[in-house]
Amino acid sequence: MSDQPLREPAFLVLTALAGGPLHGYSIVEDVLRISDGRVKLHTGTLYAVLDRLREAGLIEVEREEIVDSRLRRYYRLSTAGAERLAAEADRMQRNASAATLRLRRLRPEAGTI
Amino acid sequence: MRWRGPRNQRLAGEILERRYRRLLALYPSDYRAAYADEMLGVALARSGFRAGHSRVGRHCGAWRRQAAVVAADHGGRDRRGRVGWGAMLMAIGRCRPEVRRRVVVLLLPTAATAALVTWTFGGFLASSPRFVNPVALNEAQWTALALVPVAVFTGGLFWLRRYERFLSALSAK
Repeated sequence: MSDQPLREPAFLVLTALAGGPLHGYSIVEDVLRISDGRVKLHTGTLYAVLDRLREAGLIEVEREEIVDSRLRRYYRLSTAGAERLAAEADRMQRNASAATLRLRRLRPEAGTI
Repeated sequence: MRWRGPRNQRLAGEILERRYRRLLALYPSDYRAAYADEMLGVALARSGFRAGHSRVGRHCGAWRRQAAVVAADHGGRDRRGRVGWGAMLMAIGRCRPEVRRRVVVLLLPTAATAALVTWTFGGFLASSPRFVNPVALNEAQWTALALVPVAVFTGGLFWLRRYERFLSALSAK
């Protein structure tokens, strides 16, 4: 996971956790909010992403609670995770800037895109 | 049917939980041990089930989508990336019967070769890497490797045709 660019669900999960520790369902809701309702994580997808991020050391378990006799685990961004998210955001920002710049040159009369 | 009344609400919740538990049983055991309890809570919350305001039937949609994710997604693999048997069986189980039969026949040569190599060439596989000069397969082993998949596939096709003829004769009566 360290060399490959993060896939969108993983990026959004890390972004959600950058706001503070969250449990599974609140991650789903936050990702939905961050993506303007576009990305609805299925439970299977969410835990696949969480499992991979944990294995890569990008997130860690902050605490566990029992709510309505069910386990609720809170996850938080690790230091490595924060660095990775910052690097990924920077990479995406640079790509987006390059694309915007070239599109402006392509259509100078349009002024803004 | 609306699931009103405390008893029916409890029943509706139990039915939905049972369905999700069946689905979770398809995940590889190490994955299940790590996340099943947590996933159940999220799946139930995500399905939007609220006692007194819900129909179990409506939440089946969420369950089915979840089932498709199990079959297609990481959930069907264990941590070493192996595809879980549960997910594979589920994917096959979701096909139409005639498609399912053909998938099984197509899988037969692979299954037969895997069984042949595991049970017959097990010693060869274990000892060969330890010798400086690799140990070659003998003629009988090469012949078995070449013929067993073909024979099993032909046998599978023969069974398929006979079985489908039997089914069509049965429906014609």
